[in-house]
Amino acid sequence: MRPVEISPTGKTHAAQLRLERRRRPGRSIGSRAGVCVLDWLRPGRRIGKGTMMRRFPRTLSPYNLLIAGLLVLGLVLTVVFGGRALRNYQRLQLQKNPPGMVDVEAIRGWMTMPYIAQAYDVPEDELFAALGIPSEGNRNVPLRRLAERYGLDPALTRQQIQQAILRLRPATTPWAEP
Amino acid sequence: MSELTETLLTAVLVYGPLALALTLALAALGLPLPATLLVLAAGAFVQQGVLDAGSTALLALGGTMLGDSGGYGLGRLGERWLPGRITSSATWRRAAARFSDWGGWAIVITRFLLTPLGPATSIIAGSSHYAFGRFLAFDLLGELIWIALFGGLGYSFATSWELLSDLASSLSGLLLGIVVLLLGGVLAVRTRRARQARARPQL
Repeated sequence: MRPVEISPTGKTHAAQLRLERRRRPGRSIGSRAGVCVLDWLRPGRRIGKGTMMRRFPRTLSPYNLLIAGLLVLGLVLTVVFGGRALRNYQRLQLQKNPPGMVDVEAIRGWMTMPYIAQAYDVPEDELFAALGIPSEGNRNVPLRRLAERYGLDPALTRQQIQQAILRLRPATTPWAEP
Repeated sequence: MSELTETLLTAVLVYGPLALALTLALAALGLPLPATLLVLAAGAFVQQGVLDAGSTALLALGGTMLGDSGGYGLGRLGERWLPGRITSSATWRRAAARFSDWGGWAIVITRFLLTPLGPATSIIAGSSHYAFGRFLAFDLLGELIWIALFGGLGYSFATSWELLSDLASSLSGLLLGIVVLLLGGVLAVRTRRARQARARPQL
């Protein structure tokens, strides 16, 4: 059987707390929570039947839980995405290309040959020639699929395209990734 | 970048603004597609001369508004399937009246700023019988700002649009976090005030 603490007034601890609450009605949620915490920390305290468990739902009602959840979720989202936004902004500042320069490091596997030719202002046929593949039937195929189709190494394919652009546009500088 | 995003980018390069419009319509309906990233990329493609500025902007706007209207229609239909005790309740009517008063701003803001909440707002507008003409007018305004803002950024930062897309995504999450935090704060203050008002002795 659980021990029940008896107060100096001869009442159980739970009954004493209920009496105190009736005498001081309308205390804020903060002070009630404070009473809970202080009661919890009180030296020599024993959890009697119905002390914390009966007051707990009144202190943290579903509505209060919703508010607490919103505050915690909002704080987590703000901190996580705020930090990420700061890092992205710093990377963007580092990757600013000088005017007139084109970044050959920006070539990606989803790009098609006509797009690369247009974006870097180089002849499309020269790019196909650099890979040693025909342009027919391959114009709308992204670089990654071209490499798969012809059994080429994707990294080497990208490198060959970059070299072809640098050869065809000598003014272009390879821009290192930050 | 995910394989889906890469496929969509290739589709925009190959099929042009039509692929962009279709993707934006599906994203506006609530499908998890990278709509803002595609608008940024489209801006960069326009700057590089791959896409035409006029037709891209028009089709992107048309596609997004089509998707938003679809969301509105879903809300209208969905409301009919809900039990009558919910839709005729005082809470539901109060929420609908409040949306009727403030919904315009919610529609505009969720089109370009709090974009993750856009599809839900369209559905709420439909289910609360918000006037379709007004919905379309606010939708047009919000989507115009979105396309001009992100398309313009993609056009300006054509060589670094991928990084810009990451930044836009992070800023969107940050804004959402701030809104959730503010909402929680407002509710907490209101609850506290209500308790204090109840606690005051009646004269």
